[in-house]
Amino acid sequence: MILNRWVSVLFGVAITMLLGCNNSSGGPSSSSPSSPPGPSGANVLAITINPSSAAVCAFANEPCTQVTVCQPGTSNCQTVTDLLVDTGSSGLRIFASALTIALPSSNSGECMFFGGGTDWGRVHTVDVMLGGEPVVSVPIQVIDPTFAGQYTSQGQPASNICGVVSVDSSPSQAGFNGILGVGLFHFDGGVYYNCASLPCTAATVAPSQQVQNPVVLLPVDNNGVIVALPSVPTGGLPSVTGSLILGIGTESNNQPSGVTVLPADSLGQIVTHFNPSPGVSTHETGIFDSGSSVIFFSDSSLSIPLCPGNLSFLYCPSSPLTFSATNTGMSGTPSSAVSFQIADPRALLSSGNAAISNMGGPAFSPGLFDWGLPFFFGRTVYVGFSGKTSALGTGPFWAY
Amino acid sequence: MKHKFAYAMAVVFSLITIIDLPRAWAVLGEPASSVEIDRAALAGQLKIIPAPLYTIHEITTPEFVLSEYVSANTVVAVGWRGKRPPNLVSLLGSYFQEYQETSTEVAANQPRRRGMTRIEGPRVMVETGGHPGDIRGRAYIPSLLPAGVTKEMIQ
Repeated sequence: MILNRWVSVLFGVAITMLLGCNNSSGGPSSSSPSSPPGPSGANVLAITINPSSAAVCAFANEPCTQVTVCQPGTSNCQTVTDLLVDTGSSGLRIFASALTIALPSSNSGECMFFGGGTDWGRVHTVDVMLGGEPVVSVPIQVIDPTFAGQYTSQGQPASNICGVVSVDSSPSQAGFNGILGVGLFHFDGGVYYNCASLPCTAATVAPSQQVQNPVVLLPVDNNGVIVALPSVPTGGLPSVTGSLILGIGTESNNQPSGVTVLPADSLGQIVTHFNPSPGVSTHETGIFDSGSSVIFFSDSSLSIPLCPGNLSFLYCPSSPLTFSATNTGMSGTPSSAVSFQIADPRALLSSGNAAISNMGGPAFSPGLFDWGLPFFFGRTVYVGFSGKTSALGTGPFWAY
Repeated sequence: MKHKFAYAMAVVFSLITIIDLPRAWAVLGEPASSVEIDRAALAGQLKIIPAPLYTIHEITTPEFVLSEYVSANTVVAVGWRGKRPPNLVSLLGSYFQEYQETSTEVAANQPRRRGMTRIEGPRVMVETGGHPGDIRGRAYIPSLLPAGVTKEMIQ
């Protein structure tokens, strides 16, 4: 196994050199005070939040990384940058317009529904290389609004097979070249269609042909991932660098210690008891989603004003508010208290800071507590894959 | 003659029903009787849940649970939760265009980000959120909500 792993590392280096790509990522240099030297190894992908160095990954609290994709069975490869690191979904998705490699033919269409948007496109099986890990063959979604005439190139409804108001249309509109979903589950849970002839028809697709979390398919570091990001002060930071580490307890650089393990249910949810005011505790459904830009939560007893105008999806308290919540596993144990701050984000956003630790907004879904990216700052969060075992137990679980 | 006319009308009406079915199930702002059209179009199970301020017509399908809130014999709000949202073109009916126009306008002006969305049109409010596997949302007509009903009740 060790030999194989080194071969794959060398293969990765060779590919990188051939393509002239820079695997060390374009983030800020390690001399930045916000980015201490991170772990290194074949199982580490750099995460950057740094709009100044990235043309596409350019909105606040957007953690991005890069992977290499290849035409199946060939060395015709491409490094795709600006991929959103998403613990809230599973599977790799890349805009068709960001791909230059030839893709095998496919008639399989997919609607993938997120809380804040929808992706429509074709499913292709390609070779994917994560960091210096061995290549895996995995179905990915190639996001393309115009596939089978369903949406316009601006993502507006045409035949509208997904039945939504719009779909992600381009890297510049979406703010990423794609999404690397490294969530708790093997399969993505999307809705599949056969588009061999139009109109596309609903299809039952074999699991092997569904979009899958590529990390699950790795030979060794396949039982989970770790998202490690530095802490961010209340004033924010212009950029941060962190790590997406593959595997839990499988290598010297991913050994867990001193963490609380919160078992999740079949939807990846835990229980969050939120304390909107002293002595009050509500029962909510909690998730940890690095792909959510802020912490989304609501309570009918809360009267935090929403920001005016274009920021009406965010809270704008007149002075910073500190809240507490307790996360527990689905079965009620163990529990972990978390405190967090919500401040008026307008000055923070206009300062140009891209990493903001105290931004929140209402969860328009009753009872849902979405621990978005601010939760991840200053923490090492373990995503324990469903059905996989590590030193922390068998997934699905969240731990930090 | 009269009989023949009635027969012709029945045929025409059936055709309209058949042709219209995929687009217009029933809808926000329409009479309570339209809920049955939804249930049939979705091949779902219908459960009627009385409440003090409204009646909930809950339609369960393998993909989602759709709750239609009926007050004064009108569907004043809808809420959904499941693996996918219901087809919002069908569900919002004549309000969909307003939702689409406002949504496009908001997207053009808001900073880019990922997360929950809230689209406030001139007549209709649409909020969407959740996460893959547990997609949630609601749409309602604020002017038709009975006094005492808050949006938190719609789920």
